[in-house]
Amino acid sequence: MDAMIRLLFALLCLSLAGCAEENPKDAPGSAESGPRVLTIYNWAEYIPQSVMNRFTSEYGIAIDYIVYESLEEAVQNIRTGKVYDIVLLYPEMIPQLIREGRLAPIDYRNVPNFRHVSSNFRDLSFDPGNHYAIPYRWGTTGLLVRTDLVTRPVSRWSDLWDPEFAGNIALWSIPSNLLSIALKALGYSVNTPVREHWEEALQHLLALKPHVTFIDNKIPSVVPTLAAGEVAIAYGWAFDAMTAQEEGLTNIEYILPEEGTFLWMEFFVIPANSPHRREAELFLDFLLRPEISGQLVNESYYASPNEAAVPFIKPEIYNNPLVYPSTEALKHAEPSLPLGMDGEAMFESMIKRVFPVK
Amino acid sequence: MNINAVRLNPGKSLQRQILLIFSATLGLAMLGSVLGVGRIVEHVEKHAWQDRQQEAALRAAETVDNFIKRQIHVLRLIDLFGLDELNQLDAGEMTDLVTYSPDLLEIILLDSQGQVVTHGPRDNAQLANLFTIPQSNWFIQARLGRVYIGDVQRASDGSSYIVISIPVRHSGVLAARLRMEVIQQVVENLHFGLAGSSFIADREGAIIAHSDHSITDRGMRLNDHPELFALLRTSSASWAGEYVNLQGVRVVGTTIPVPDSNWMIITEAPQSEAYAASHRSWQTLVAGAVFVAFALAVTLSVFMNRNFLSPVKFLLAGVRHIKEGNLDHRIAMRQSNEIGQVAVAFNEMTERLQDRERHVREQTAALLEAKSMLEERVRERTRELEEQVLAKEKALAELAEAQSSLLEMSRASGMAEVATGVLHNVGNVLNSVNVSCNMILDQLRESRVSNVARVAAMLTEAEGEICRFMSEDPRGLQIPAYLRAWRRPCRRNMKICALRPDRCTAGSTTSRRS
Repeated sequence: MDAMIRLLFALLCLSLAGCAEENPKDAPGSAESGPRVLTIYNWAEYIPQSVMNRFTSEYGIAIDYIVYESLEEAVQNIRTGKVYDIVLLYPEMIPQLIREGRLAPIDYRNVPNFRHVSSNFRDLSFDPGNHYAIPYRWGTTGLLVRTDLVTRPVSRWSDLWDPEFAGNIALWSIPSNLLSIALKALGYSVNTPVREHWEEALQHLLALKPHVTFIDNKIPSVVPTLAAGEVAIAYGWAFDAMTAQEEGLTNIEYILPEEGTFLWMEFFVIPANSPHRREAELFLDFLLRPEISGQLVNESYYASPNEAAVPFIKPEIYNNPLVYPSTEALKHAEPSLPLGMDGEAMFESMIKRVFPVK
Repeated sequence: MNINAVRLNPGKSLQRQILLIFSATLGLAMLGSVLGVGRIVEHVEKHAWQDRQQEAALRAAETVDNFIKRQIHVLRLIDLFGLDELNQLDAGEMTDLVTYSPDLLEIILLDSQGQVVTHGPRDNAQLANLFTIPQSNWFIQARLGRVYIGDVQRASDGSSYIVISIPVRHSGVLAARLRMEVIQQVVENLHFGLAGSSFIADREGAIIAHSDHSITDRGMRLNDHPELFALLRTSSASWAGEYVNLQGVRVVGTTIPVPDSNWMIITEAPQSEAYAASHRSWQTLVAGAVFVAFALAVTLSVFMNRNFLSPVKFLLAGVRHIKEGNLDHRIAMRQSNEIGQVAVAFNEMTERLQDRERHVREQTAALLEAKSMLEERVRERTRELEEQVLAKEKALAELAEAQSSLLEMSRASGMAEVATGVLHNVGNVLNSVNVSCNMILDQLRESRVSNVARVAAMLTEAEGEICRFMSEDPRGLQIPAYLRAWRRPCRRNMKICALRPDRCTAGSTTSRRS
């Protein structure tokens, strides 16, 4: 009798399997027939073309790389339902999108290389259990100084407000960074829960605004601006310092301010409406291969969260404290935490006051 | 109907029908018994397995729970030292603390800002070197006053660990990194049956430890097994049942939650093993049932043949003798049952048939004699009747001839009588006509109707001067008096005609009366 039941069950399973085969598109994340194209939505030139070409040749999956100009634009496009398979975001933006159901949970059976990811990027508060986000790279934020154009050493965030440097400063028009700089300059945490600190930072920033030049986010680096002597100070990242070093611009120095740097991290997420979830997971796993992560570091000068990539990173890069700062240098470093619902609203209103919509 | 006309249909023979009914009844009874007994055995075995598995899973859950609690107790004990005391411990002393507990990989004490107060790694510091401590879930949860047990984390070298953290005094956090080998050993040490396996999974579907290493190595999750996944998500207490496991094998399984965590212990055993005794019981029962059924069928067949069918056949042979006319035959059966009674009844019936046959023969002879006598009497009576008929026919012929003569005479006499009557009537009519004519003539003579003709002639002469004639002429002056004189006889005649129409028309009536 049991054998009969098992036989019937097996037949049922077979019939169901047959039905499933007839409708492969019904399965979530299943690949459609025809050439597969993975759509990546990211900053310009954030993934080397050679890496994408290798993925395409290995998996037969073409990549459509779409560039966004700001993270706000990226979030807005996800919310409006535009279809992407992989999007690069900052941690601050992820919790709200998770709450809104805009992101797809990651199937870690397709991302076994996640085991190489450093504990620094696991089980963080904005995505407990890493259910939705996989880290791509991280780094510090500091000041790039043309040492030959300043009359005194620059070592603090607050130096930006020194009238001596007025009109000689360039800042990226990234609101979250600008507010973090102001908070740090005032001696507050970038994650301060005190609203007055934020308001004070805003006023501090508005006071600075007339004396700085804002950099177009579309340009890849501020180094040419510094090299041309248009400004003497800019805030930037290790990538800029490494670029300057490569170009022999020894008069450009990268400083981690005394108040403490604020860390940035970038995570890949898969939007819930992605039609190629499995392919996206394959790509993320591909990026987490030690040799690929190493290649990414070697080509971009940004630190990788992949611990197993160290043997594949050029020693001069891995040992460069600009890219991989020492534990001591990171002692006062602060990563940005999500602001929460109220903080988000406050932040949005502050952005409008810094950059009024024309 | 002739007994030979009923040919024995092998398929409908009494023997076969009885055997068929008996076999069917016996088969159903045996089937019911086998199913019942088999089900009972299966039920007992299933519950025995489930009890055994639940007991094992319960033990494992207790072990895991004790393991976690023991580590938390270690952290609480460390907290008893106080922040100041711990601050004074150097890394070596903290490391000694860690090595004291073989399950600890690292202990770290943090202040409320996430800055490391002190730490002790077994081999390499990992938590202490993190620059994302303030963002880490384990720090934030403990900072909020909760005991935190993290997900299993797998490292690059294949090892795995979990982070637990507790809130401590002065808003600090004490965290530890634990080896997962202990948990792995728990599931590996769970033994039941030959192929029984067990694993620990969290309610999100992640498999924390499995007795089959390849499952965890492949990072398999329960999310793709809706049956099991739903069970993990919904069952808050222990559960036992059947399902298809991760390897696609149908198993008998139990789940038991690990207290104070979102982990579940799952133990499972292949049904082929769990129900092995049941399957053997089934086989034995079926084989036994077939054997018993066969033996009973043979025994019954022999019994039926000896006690029922052979006597019936013997009875049938006796009936055939009787049918062939051998009424002296008697069925020699001495069985004291219904068939014996039938045989005795047949013998009695045969005797009666014999008596009746004898009586019929005697009756037949008497009837034949009476028949011949009757035939002779009929012949005599017939002859007498024939003679009477001939005499009657002759008398009738003579009577017919006399009747014919009488008829002819009667016809001639009638015709003469009719002619006489006609002549008499004609004479009467003619006489009436004559009388009427005379009466008319008398009437006419009595009336002065001839003067009317004269008046008419005078009026014709005075045509054109009628007035003068009537007023002046003496003849004319008499006319009115004449006409007045006519009035009375006319009225009388008119009355006569009105009151006696027979007088106006009835010359014939009068004549007929006369």
